[in-house]
Amino acid sequence: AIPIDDIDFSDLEAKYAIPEDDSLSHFIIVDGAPIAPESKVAVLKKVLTKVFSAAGKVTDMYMPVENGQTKGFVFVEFEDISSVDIACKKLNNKKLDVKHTLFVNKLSDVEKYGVKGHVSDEFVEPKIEPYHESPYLKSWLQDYNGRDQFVLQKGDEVGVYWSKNKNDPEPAVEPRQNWTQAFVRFSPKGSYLFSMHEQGIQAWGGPEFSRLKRFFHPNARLIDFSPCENYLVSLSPTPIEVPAEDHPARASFPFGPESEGHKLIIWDIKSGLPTRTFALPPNLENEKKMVWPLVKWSYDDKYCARMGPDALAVYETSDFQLLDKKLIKIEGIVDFEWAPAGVKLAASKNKDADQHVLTYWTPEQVNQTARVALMQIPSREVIRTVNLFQVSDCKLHWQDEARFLCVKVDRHTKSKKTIFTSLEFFHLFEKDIPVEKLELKDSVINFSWEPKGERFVTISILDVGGNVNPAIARNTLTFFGPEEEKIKNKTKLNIKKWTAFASFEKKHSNTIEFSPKGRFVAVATIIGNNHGEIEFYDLDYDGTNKESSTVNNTGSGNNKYFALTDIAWDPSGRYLAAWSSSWRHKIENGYRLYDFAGHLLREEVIDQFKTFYWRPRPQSLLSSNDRKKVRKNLREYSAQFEEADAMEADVATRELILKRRKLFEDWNSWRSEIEKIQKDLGLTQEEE
Amino acid sequence: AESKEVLSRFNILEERQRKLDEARRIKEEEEIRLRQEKAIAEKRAEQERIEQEAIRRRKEKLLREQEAIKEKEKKKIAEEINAKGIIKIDVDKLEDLDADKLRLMQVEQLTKDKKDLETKLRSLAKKMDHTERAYRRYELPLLAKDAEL
Amino acid sequence: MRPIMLKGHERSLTQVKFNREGDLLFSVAKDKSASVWYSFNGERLGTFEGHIGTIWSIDVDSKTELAVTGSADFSAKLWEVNNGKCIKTWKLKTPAKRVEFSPNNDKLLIVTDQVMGEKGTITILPINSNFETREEQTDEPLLIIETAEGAEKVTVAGWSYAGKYIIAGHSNGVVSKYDAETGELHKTVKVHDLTITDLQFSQDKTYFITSSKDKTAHILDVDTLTIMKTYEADAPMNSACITPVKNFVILGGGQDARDVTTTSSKQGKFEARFYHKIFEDEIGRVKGHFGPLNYVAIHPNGTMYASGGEDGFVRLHHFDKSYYDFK
Repeated sequence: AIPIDDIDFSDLEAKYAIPEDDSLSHFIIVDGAPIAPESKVAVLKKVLTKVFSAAGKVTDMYMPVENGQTKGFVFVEFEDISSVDIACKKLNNKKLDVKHTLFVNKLSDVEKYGVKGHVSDEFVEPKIEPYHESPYLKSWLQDYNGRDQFVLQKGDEVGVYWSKNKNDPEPAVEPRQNWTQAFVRFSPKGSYLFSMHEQGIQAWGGPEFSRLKRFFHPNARLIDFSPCENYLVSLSPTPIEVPAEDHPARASFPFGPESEGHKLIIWDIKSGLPTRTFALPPNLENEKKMVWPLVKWSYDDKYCARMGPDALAVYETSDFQLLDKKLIKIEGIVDFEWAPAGVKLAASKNKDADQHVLTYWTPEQVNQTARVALMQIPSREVIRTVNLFQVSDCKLHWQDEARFLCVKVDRHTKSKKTIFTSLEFFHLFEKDIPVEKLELKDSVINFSWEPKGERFVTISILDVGGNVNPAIARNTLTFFGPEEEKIKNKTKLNIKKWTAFASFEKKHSNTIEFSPKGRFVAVATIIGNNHGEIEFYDLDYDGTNKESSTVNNTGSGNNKYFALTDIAWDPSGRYLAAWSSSWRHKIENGYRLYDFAGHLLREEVIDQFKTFYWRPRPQSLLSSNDRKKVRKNLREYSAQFEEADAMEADVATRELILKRRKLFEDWNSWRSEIEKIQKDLGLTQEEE
Repeated sequence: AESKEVLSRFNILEERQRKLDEARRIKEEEEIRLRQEKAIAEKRAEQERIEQEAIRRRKEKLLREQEAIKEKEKKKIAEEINAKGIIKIDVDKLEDLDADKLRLMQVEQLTKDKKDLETKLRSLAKKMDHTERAYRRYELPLLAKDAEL
Repeated sequence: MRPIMLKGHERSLTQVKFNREGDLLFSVAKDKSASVWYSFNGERLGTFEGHIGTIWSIDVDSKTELAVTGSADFSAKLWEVNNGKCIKTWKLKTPAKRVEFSPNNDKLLIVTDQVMGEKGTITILPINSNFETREEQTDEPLLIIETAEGAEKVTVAGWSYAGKYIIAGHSNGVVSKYDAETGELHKTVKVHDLTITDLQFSQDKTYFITSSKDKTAHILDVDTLTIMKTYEADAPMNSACITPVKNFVILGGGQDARDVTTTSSKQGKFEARFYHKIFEDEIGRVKGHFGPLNYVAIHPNGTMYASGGEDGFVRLHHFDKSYYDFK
């Protein structure tokens, strides 16, 4: 087991001290060298000797070889100890060529921190990798039973478990005390688990959840990831303080002087190195409630962008420099969102190419109406704008495949007393990007697209101006679906129009969670006047006709859960977890597991329960052909699974019986022992 | 004297005639009165009969209407049941079924619907679960290859 | 079966207790009077009047002749059960939090509170139970046990089998064990994270159950003070008892009124909870009170249980057939 009790970064401080002189102090270890065939070792040695001679005389060099290939790391011995320091200072992060950057560390450091289970402390992690076979980060997908994992955080303990649905979850690793000092987060595809500490962030993964990387960012409070999980973004209220030039720690300090005072860091997760740091925009310095995320990413991690006053800064992640070295001026910009997928623009020369698109909106300004715009990146070309009137707020909702953008426009009446919503739909894949408008009487407070679908659900309320009794259920839940417009004119394309096909009034509901696979949606009321409740809807009620626009509140699926604070679907859309977190209140903390139709499978009431967290899964490796094959043979699989499930259930029952039998025997044997002692002492209750 | 006698007889005759006339007149008047009374009575009876008839008709009409409503309701319930398409009722032959019986059938129907929905959901749950698990199992060799990279 | 509501107290109940035969139920509350009830129909037999402060605890001897009460008025009183006459008042330096007769009625223990600079103690007094002379009781304690080192003040205490030991529960979750003759400390064990609210023995007094504000209850062995069983609840627990006949334990408690964020009784968890004594699983809950349950007591034959609530009611539940059929 890995020692978890003290995973702080205190050893980093030790690192700042001058290492003791010992037999290893003449060595450095270099990582990031080219991986080359054995035959090239001599040439490589020559090249590297030349590089490291810059620090002093090289007396020996050892390059491990495995399966006829070098492993990318090298041990270098210097004649003079002082050369070791010089090499670390001058040659660390040296670019050997475009592909190879050298990471230099003292071997004595590695030995000191790398033994006895004390994984090394360096910001520059690669140097310890020679000692570990790096674990397969997708190992959890290799579970023979195809189970999902989730995290349960209770009190100071964090555990990762295999979900066994209604049965007790099985720990994937021994639950760890103080694994994090705040929360844990999975990266978007589930490869890494991140924990939060006073000194920074740690990444864990592989079958044992071993420590993979540490990101030195004291007091980091908020983190976020790029969608392809290449980058980690962290924010700390404590600005970076770069050690003085002559400080021994300066050589390996991960940030240069340009990062002085910065609070926002973008890290490369794989290398563990910072790629770019930023100061907090001045307008956010005194904000009590931080806007997050501050960095938003294109779907493929190729670009990221930050919003500043009246401008958008777009960076290319290849070098994290500003796109075209300049900001994009957008007067009054309030919010922006990247398209969550590549967009095949009809107007583009290459119609099949996935384009990067982002949308932003600006409020009403002098001589200008409020406006929503779509911009193509990297061309910065504004490909569509819509002018809006009497706008009090806009929310940008992309459909997950970026086929549609819905802008929820909250508009005020002329008197400004009440708010009503209109929805503006941008049809990204159509020629000229037509925009459809849907005006509503209500004010929409929640909007959610069906994943990979064309339907959406809203929660709305009629704004009557002034205060209303919150105990009265006034919300309306509405299901919308597309309706093909009749072709009047053959030249005009079929534009989808959305109409409400079902609605439910007098609700307290305030949360919509669509199953990641679509069709099923959970609508919940979360901490509102004791009305905690989850309702499960099936948008294809009939189950036979996909197009049938009926909705069914799946009978069994009305579940009161008054202490409810959160809900989340598993990655497959088969199960919904609901929980009551002690972060929100102290009442009936714990979690429940439902199936998609709202059948309660499992409930645990846990004192101090903090959170439930499904481990995300990356996109499946299966091709559509593979899937077809599987579906064709489903009957065979089904038979296997039925049998496995029956056996599992049998085992569970048998285990319970055995456990109870044992408890009973233990109790009885203890009682008879006590009775014997009592008898021997000649004692009964009433005598003395 | 004769003239006196004649006069007297004449007077007597006259008197007698007068009395006769009087008597006849009274009788006639009496007859007229009786006839009139009879006519009124007959008219009243006729009117009563008509009224009774009207009441009877109204009642009958009401009854008919009620029957129709009942029938309609029965038909409606039956149609509702039929629309669910699980049990079939002949809408034109509802004589031996009253609304209560139909309602009971409807409740049964709803219970059955709920049960059917439940069965449907259970089998859907199984299908979804097995498909997902099958995909994941089929993916295992691909992942093993991926792990070697 | 419908529970019987015993209405008579005007304020929160502090303790309820059956006599040895179980035909009578004794109850005390913050309203300064003790009540005696017929357990089969809930009719009040009488009251013990005389205290001028909250009565924290009551006990009755095994012959149902004498009863003792401990009060916040810095006294403990001895009563004749059949006529409600007070025959002795012991003046104390601090409030009496717990009183209990030894199993053979010849001694009395009083847990005195640790307040106003006075040390809390377990004071052992001799009891003269001779019918003729019982109005003559001494003020001289046999023994005064002071709080063991490493333990905070005593909150609850009771006599083990044969009156051999005194077991005490402390405000820091420690359980301590003393020789009842000499007062010698045998052992202390940290059992709970928070204050121990109740300590009740099994019928043969060889093991006992503790309840705590830390939302758990434990069964411990008298001889070794080993934790044999643990029962986990989701609210602070004020009381726990072990049922004879069936293998159950009953826990009572609930969120303190000041901790309950809303007025809903559902959220306060004001229920009596039944657990399987050996398997530790929760079996069921009995609702009814509008406030936390301050004490739960089981009939000596296991045919009914009583709960005293913060809401001022005593609820008496006769078990029905399903209870006896369970497992």
